[in-house]
Amino acid sequence: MGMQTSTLIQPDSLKWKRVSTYTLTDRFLFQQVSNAPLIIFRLLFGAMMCVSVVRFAANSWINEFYIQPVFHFPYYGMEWVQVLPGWGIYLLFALIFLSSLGICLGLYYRLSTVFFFLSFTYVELIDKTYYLNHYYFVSIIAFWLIWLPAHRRFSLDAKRQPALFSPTTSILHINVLRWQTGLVYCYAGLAKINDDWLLRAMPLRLWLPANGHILGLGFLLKQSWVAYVFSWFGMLYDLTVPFFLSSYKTRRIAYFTVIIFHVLTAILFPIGIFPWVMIFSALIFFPADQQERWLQQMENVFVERSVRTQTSGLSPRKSAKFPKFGRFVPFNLNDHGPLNPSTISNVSSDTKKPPSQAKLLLFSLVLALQLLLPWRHLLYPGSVFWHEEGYRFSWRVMLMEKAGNITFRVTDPDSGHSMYVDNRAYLTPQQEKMMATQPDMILQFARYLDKTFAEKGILNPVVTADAYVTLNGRLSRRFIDPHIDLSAQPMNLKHREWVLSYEE
Amino acid sequence: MKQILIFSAFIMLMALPFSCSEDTPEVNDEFDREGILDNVATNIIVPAYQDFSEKTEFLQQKTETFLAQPTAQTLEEVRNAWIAAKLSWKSGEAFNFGPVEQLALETAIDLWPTNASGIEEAIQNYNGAATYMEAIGSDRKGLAAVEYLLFHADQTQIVGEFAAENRKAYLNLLVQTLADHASKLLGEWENGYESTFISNTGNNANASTTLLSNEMIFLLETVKNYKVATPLGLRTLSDPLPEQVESLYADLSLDLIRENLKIMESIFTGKAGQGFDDYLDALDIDDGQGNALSAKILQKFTKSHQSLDAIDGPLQVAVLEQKEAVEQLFIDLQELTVLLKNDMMSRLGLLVIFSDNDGD
Repeated sequence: MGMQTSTLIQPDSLKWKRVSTYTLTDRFLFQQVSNAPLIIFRLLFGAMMCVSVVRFAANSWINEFYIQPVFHFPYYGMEWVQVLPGWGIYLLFALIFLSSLGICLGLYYRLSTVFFFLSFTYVELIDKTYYLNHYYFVSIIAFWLIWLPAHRRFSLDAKRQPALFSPTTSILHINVLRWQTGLVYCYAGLAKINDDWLLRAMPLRLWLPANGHILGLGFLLKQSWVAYVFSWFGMLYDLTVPFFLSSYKTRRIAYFTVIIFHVLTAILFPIGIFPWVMIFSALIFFPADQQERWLQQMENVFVERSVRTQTSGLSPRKSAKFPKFGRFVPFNLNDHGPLNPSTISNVSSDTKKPPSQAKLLLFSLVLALQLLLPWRHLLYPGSVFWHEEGYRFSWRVMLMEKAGNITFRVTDPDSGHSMYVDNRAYLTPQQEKMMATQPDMILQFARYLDKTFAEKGILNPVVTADAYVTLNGRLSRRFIDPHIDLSAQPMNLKHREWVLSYEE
Repeated sequence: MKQILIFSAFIMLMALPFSCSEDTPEVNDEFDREGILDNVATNIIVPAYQDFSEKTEFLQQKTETFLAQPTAQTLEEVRNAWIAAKLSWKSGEAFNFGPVEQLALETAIDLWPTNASGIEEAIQNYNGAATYMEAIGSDRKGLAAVEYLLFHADQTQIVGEFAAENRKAYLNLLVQTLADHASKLLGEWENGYESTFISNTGNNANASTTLLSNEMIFLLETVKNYKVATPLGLRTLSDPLPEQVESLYADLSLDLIRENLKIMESIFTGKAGQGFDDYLDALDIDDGQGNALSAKILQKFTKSHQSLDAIDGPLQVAVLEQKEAVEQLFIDLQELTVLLKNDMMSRLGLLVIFSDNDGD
């Protein structure tokens, strides 16, 4: 391969390997490279989360989503995650804000990442009404950050404790973030391979004309062939962009399309911060030595010269001379060869230690779990779009237009009297809207009604539902068997027979 | 440059063959939401507010005549003036956004059921202050309170009651406040909000198309749930609740529902101009069986009107004596709700939500 293999840093634990062999594991896992990608990722992620929390609060969503509702829809098996009283929720959001600030500044980094992961995830688990794929993505990234040394440079921690400082890291720590981001794109692309998306251009055909006023592109967005182009392009783009981002030859242009693509989605659809999260996350694909130069420019501005020359082990001129691979390797990673050990000899030895076996195992398990989860819908019969069994946590992003209308009927078996429930008496409009199309939420609400009416003194209330759902532009049809007493249905992960079949 | 070419050629080559294979007709790209907003604002909303303003002014005149000389004759006239104003507002109440929302006038103008003992109490406590109305709860004022005062007993008794000065003053204040609200709303629409409304063609939670369509559906659900289902006893585990009808004293409930249905249909069709039906047709939206979705929705409007016409007499009697007929109306309104709220909204890409949030 023509590498500078003899100069590769080989920790003791790897003695069994011949030093002169630059193996794939070295290249993908153990190679010491500039930690600039991690540092920049940390900065941007922390900053985005700060902004995101402020925006959430400024929209008064904390109050609207977590304080006003009298009922919440917890996740199966996570029912112990309960909403906190008003001050508790605000405290939780304050914690999210402070910990994201901590992540951004690299202050009490470990503590910040742990707190951020726990508090953010807790909030997300309170109510599945607010499930968004990008919140799931944020939780996963937060989990990774706990295990990644993204605070060893350009951070307040490194300033407080100079011993922490390191200019390098095992490439594994950067690669997991690349794999993670690539996985999201690939699964989002795979999810788009379905009849409605490709052959009917649904739901883009409904959504694009609705945004006809934007950018003076109205006349274009109303054309159905445009919806087909967007659909096919979107699918191919998601499937391939991580690979194009990984290759030296196509990276720049691929990143350019990342910006165009996500800015376009930001303009066309109300998807909040997601486009920005993806635009910044995709920067992780840029090679370490290139990011090293970006980071050094930032350090030039922020870090005093004396400190910098003492501690920074890498000179931009040297890093620029690292050999470049043109060869294509999935999700890599043209981190251009190992570092010259002389440049980092002043770094404490523990930072050069390769990731432990336990860490490798943990990382593998987390990745494997995510590779498997999106396929779980195959365990259920019927359309995943209709039944939504195994729909969440699978990167099905902006994939369907589904709307429903549901009226619950509660019957007192003793008197035979029955009544229609005003959903709005218990649910916010947002909760009602999300519930109307999602069977697990319908069941949760039906059971809540059962409990509520039982408390009013009705013995074994019967809860039935008149539900109609339209999916991707097909005329509304009955969604739930109207004769089934929902309050008697079990809450579990089995296929729900009482959801009427989509195929006829 | 070469990289750019390779990359885009790859993407385009893969995408193009498929994009040409579509078989559906091109949509009419002439259609513009501003057309609906312009037409509905100019020909439906502003005329509705004009009418309400005229009707409340007329009510004010007739009230003055009645109070100056309470007789069976003048009572009959003021009652008719009230009926005209109330019917007029059933069009106005479809547009619960913009000025009426900013000024928080919706419930001040009309809220029911009214609180009879509360009204009597408010009359007792009347102190002559010009701002007295501001402190009075919505269930003691507005059109519904006027109805109570004018209709709650037979003519002789009502005429007799209006010998009391406090009662006279309170009715006068109620009617005057209503006329003030009506002219204020009309003024806001005519002096600025109309053009704001027409030009806000976006697709977010506060865009005009979103507001117009959501409020139309909201009114439909109000009619279905509160004006029909509640008196039927469908919203409580009980027998019918005739005293819960909208117009308990004037026996006008069915006519009020009819006016509500008419205005919803007008918004949907845009009358002679552009409405949501034209929007659906322009996008060539069908019901999956080859019929236009707009035609299906119009049929359901017609069916609802028929079911409404099939109910005899005051609604408070009908919920007891013709329960099936009233239930049929409920079922039709339910089906209309599904067509409008699910199918129309979803296929026009309109937001069905009153609060803003991210999607994904």
